[in-house]
Amino acid sequence: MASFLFMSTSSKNNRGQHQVFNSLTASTGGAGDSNDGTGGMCITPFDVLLKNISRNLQVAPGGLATCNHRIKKNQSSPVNLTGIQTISGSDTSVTNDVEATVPALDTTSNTTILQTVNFMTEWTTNAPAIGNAFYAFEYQVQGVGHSRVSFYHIGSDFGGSKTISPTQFMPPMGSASQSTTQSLRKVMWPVSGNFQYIAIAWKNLTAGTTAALTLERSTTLAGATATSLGPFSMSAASPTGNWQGTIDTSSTLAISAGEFVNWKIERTAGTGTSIQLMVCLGFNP
Amino acid sequence: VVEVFEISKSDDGLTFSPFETFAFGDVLDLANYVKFRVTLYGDFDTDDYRLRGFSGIADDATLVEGGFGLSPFGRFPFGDGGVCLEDENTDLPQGLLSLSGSLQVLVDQPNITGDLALSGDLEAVFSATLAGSLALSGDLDVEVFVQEEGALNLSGSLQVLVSPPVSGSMSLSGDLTAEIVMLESGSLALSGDDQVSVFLQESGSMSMSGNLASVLSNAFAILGGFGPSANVGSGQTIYISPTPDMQTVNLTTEAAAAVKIPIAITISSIYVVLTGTLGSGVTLTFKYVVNGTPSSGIVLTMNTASGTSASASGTVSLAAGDTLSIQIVSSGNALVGVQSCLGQYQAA
Repeated sequence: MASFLFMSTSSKNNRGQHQVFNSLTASTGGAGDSNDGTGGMCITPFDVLLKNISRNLQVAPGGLATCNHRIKKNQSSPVNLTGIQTISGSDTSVTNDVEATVPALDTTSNTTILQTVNFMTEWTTNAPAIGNAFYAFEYQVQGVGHSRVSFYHIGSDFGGSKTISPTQFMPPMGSASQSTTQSLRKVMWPVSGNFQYIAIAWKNLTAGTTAALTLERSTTLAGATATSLGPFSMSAASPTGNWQGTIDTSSTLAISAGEFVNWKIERTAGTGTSIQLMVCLGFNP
Repeated sequence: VVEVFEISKSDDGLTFSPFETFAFGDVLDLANYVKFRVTLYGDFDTDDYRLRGFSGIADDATLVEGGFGLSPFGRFPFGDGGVCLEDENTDLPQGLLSLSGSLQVLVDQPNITGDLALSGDLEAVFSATLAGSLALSGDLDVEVFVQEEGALNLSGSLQVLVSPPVSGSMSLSGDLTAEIVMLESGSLALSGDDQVSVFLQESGSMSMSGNLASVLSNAFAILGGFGPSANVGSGQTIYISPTPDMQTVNLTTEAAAAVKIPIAITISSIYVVLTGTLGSGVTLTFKYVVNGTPSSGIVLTMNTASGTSASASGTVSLAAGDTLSIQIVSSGNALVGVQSCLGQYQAA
């Protein structure tokens, strides 16, 4: 299987949940295990094997303080996928050659979606020095035919939401902040290939409201959308707080290196203005 | 006419279990002491008397692990059914192993020192260390996860996934649907009507012929992400992280932006979008920083003429455990920030 790096940043100053796989950059945070269900999370369309988990801090914890983290799955009944990584005292990094498989999103029901959401947990002891944490680890997509695909994440966190009206734009990864101006959320893609293998999970749409998510490609930063993938239609669940999901493994959007890409989310019916959203975008070079 | 075959077992030779029936072809776990019984009954004529019996050999110096006959028992019986001891011998033959026919094969032994040749209608999984040559042919659905030091030769209508480091030569021919993920220091030869994806570090020769739809590349992906960063000040040197959110606070200390990379990678490009166009005479220069030292392997300098986006290519290599960040040096008051900064990397 091909190996990829996943790199992410915790902006929680050595504590609290953070945005695993960067699917959520507006985490409400928390102070450790007790808030597992309120922090960062990620979804994937395939099982993904994580290996060689490396974590380094901007600032050593100092003294007897420690900064700890581990990866879990299943929001409703968390299951540890890795052991605890601890950085203590004057140390600034730790690497563990552990292997953990995060499961593919199961869109069957609210319950199965919750069971196949993956997330990291961070917590500290003895008040460490303030500094951010970086993560980098190897991952391998499981299954013949998918081993070249890398994944990029965007969305909101367990407690957060994204605006659907007026129409908003988002980058394919990184900041979860939206903009009504498309060019301000485009990134220039560095590799030619096809976007494919998309997993989406959502909830908290107002009853009667539908929204659509579209991946857009353009040839210039200021130019109009040339081609697109989607739209992926999202409707309100009953009750509205239940997760729904969809996985598309067949549709493709070709892009050349140097072209631009962004997500667009818009309301297509009803009066609701927000949605809680997780998006995983695959890229097949 | 009915034949009933039964077995009774005992650990001490004194107390035996009740007789239980078994059929030809059953594989049974035996005890220290066993009794076999065959019963025939029915309405048959004198000329129809017949009996399939047992012929086992025990306590024989040369055949203690085997028996033969019509209904043998032993470790490796053959004939019309048999009774086997549980196989405790996990060593495969040291010489040539050749199998043919309609096979479903799982090879997960730790070491195979001889050659292995399989042919026929195969569904096979190899997860062994194979020091000899492996030759497969026929209608194959094969996954090979081996440390292959010898030659690997596959032919026929193949669906093949090969993901070992392969240090020997590899030859594939026929109607192939193959995905080959390997470190290939030897030669690779492909031919036929193939759909082949090869992700390899190829230091040897490679030849391809036929109607091929192939992709050759190391696995690669994208580093960096979307900010945007704060505006870069006059004459300022700042650092961003190669993470999806880039650490957009314009860090002035490299160590605060550096990410420790757990595997060896090679970076080959950088693609930058600014939040606006640079003013006249102002430049922003982007470099990857490895272990605290800016690399000149890939350098992107943007100015007014660059507009809001630009890219550069080159090579920056990192070993496992190295740290990586991105340095941005401003020659003047940029008045713009970095909207996105992405690059291509390959796992070495």
